[in-house]
Amino acid sequence: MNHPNAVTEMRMESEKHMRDDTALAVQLRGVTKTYGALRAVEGLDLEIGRGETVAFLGPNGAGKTTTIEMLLGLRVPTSGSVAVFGMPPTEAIRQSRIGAMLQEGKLMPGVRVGEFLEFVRGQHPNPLPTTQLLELAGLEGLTQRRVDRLSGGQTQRVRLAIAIAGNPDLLVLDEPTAAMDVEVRREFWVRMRAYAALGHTLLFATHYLEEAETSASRLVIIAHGQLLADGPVADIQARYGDPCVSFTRLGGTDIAFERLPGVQHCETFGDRVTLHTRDADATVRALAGGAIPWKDLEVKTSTLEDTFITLVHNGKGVA
Amino acid sequence: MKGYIRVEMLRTLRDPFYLFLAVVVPIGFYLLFAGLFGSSPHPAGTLSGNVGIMVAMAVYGGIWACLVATGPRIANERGSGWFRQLQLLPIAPWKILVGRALVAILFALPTMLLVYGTAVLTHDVRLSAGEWIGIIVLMWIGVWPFALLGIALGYVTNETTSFGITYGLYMALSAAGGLWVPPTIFPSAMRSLAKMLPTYQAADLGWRIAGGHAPELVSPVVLVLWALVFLLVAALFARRAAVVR
Repeated sequence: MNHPNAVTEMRMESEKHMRDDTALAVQLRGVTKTYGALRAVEGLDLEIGRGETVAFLGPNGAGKTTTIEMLLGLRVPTSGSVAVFGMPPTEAIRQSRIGAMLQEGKLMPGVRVGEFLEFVRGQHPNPLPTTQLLELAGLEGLTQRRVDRLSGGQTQRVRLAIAIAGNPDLLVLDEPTAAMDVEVRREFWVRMRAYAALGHTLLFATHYLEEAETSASRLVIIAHGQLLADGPVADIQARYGDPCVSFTRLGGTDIAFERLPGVQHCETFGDRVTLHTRDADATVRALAGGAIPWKDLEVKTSTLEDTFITLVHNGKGVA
Repeated sequence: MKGYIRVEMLRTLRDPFYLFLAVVVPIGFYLLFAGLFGSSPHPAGTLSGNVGIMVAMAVYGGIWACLVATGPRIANERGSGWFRQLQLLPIAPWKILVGRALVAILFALPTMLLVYGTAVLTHDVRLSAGEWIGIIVLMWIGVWPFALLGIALGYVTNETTSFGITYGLYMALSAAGGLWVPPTIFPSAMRSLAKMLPTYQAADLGWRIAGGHAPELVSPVVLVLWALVFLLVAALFARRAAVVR
């Protein structure tokens, strides 16, 4: 993926493109979307600056896809406003400013990959050069294949190629790696980071928290259509990620561990006890000084997954 | 739009359904019917059976070329998510539909020419140069409304029903329009119905010309009226499909 000249050239291109206006890449203001009685998205405010890489997280049914569809102009919000680079999403699409990979959707059957991508490139005023597009999407050597005869991973790569063919300033991906195996997924993110490194803004919805951790500089977490947390990964971890103290208890099944200093809640699995605590030091001191018999003590900082689950469960307020 | 037309044409050429139903079937039926009834005079009057059946089968094939490139494909692609993907490209939706219609009518022409060629080669059909030009051009234009019908069907039907409904309607319009059995032997009520159908009027252009007459004014009038009806239905349903809830 080392094409220094092409990369510099592209960066200059996109800088030139961006200098003419300073609007945010994405701006949602009080966006609400209801389907009958169901409130899919409720009063969502979100601002994404240019060049940010943002992971969009939330349990199933949180409103991620609906939000993305409104961002792309595929759905109209019930109330509130959506702007992409300061314009309505449909206008941003007309100007090739947005590229998107939807969760599902078949391609045009009966055409070869090469023919198909040339068609897509031809729709954009300033498309990526073919060789660079094929390289970024990992489609070298597949141009002669029919798009309806590709494997799942190859199809996803073609769909990525469609999304980036117009060299969009904002790339939106809705659970792009859902159908990929581990290796393909890893390769995919290498490509995505290469694309983001060209100065493009990237927003992706995912269920894989490690993707969010490694490929995003900022997390936006929603549940029930409302914002739960928004900030850099480290901040969210520091703010909501409680450490865990776990040990094997030796007798004393009736002890209320919740009363120990700092402990938020307690989980037991057989004799193994895990305490989620605000203050691991205080909890450990209390355990060491107390009369409760225990062994095999472990202190772990919580993973992003723990933080996510805690957040979604407790529905904590916005950062 | 040029790029879109190009890929659509490539796809159509690789579609075995298209090739079979729009190319092989009309030629096959021509050979069958002309073999059976070709030597007896076509009940339209002075026309020989060979020529009358040729005209009917050219329309029959041309219509299918128009319908298959639009109806079931649009329905499938609306269902499969490809249309949504297209909405994310900077290409106007009306260009997509116009592109489809153009591809459909472009492919109708060779289908019809193949039927004429078969008639000339196997049943020694002879017409004057002027008659040939009239038949080729006017009957080709005569099947254009069916591209609009196909687009309308693409929006009215869905993935599962589209092929059946399109094919059923095609057969019904062909039969009632006298493409299978000459309308002159229909009972009079059915004959009156036939004359209101675009299938009959597209074929009647050719029947008149081959018989040495000028087409009647009623043919273009009926065809244009149907084209407007199809266009209206297509526009109405396409609009409804584009509105996002």
